[in-house]
Amino acid sequence: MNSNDVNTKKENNNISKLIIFILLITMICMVLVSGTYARYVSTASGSATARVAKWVFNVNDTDIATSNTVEFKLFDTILDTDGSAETDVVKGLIAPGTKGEFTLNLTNASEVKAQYEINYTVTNDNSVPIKYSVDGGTNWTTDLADIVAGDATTLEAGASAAPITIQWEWAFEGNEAKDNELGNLARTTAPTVTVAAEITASQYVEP
Amino acid sequence: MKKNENKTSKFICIVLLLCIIAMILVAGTYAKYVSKATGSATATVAKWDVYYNDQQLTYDNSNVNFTLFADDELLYPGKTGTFNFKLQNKSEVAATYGIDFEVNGTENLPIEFSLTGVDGSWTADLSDATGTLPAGQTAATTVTGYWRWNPTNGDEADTLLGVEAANATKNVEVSATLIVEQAQ
Repeated sequence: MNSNDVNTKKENNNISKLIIFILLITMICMVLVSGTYARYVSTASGSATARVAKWVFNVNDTDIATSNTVEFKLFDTILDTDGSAETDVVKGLIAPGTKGEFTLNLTNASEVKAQYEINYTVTNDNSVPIKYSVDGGTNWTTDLADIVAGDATTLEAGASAAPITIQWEWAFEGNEAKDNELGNLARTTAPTVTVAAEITASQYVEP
Repeated sequence: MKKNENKTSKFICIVLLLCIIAMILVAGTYAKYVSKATGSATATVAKWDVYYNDQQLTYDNSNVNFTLFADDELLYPGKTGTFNFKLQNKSEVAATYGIDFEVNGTENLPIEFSLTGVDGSWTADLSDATGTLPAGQTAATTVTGYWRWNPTNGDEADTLLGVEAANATKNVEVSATLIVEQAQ
């Protein structure tokens, strides 16, 4: 390679660098002055917000979404056979001829449809002859679970279910021998009857 | 050796991947609001605990001591006597009682009874005694009865009875049935 060729190549490189430099400057200028050109310009923005539906299911004013226990005062008010206040039995105890009731008020205060079910458990080791009804006394059973076997019922958002009244009764004219056996047993170890209600509410999901 | 390890690793990866996919697919079915609460109530049976003359009564006491006359009590004009029953209700329920008296052998004997006191009404047929016993009695209720030889029977009749008694035994028998029931 002679000296002329070397010079020619060197010049070409310089020209290329110059062109790239000019292009770069041009681009920078375009960016800087672009805002000054008049043209149609539209801008828009949009946003969407979704709120989570609340979940509130009240059982007698207790929100079971936040509390896993509810008051179930089935035996708090003990009445005489005729429905008047029981005066022949020591307060808080049951005996033949006593009865009572308790009402569950369920409200779906949620913003979603819900379904609920109530399961009752009766613990009655000494077979105290108490019978129960949840239909106003039309049907009676010794095992609450027989009547309301956990049937799920739906409840629209914000709706309340019809009050559920659980009635119990120990017949005055029943089995005297059995009643006496229980009364005598109570001298030493008082037989007890415990009724538990488990209320489960869940968001209704279309099948 | 290394080849086997690679295969195992691949297999584990595939299984894990399948699990993740399955979980994603079924997640929608399980996700929902659910709440559960329980409440319970317990009732206690009231005790039944009644006594006759300090003897505890059960469902069917076939016999209790019923002392209306003393042993070998002799009856004669002018004779009087009293009898007492103690009833106590230590139950947790109120009770009622009834004593059903049955008098035999007075056809020819002028024995009279009263449950209303010596100045009360007297009758040859001892009427039933009834009453109430409140729950949890700490002291017994006493039922008091009275008997007497009818003072208006007359000397002649009284004498005749005495003469007859010399030849044949004449007795008065009083039996009683006590029922204590839970008050309704």
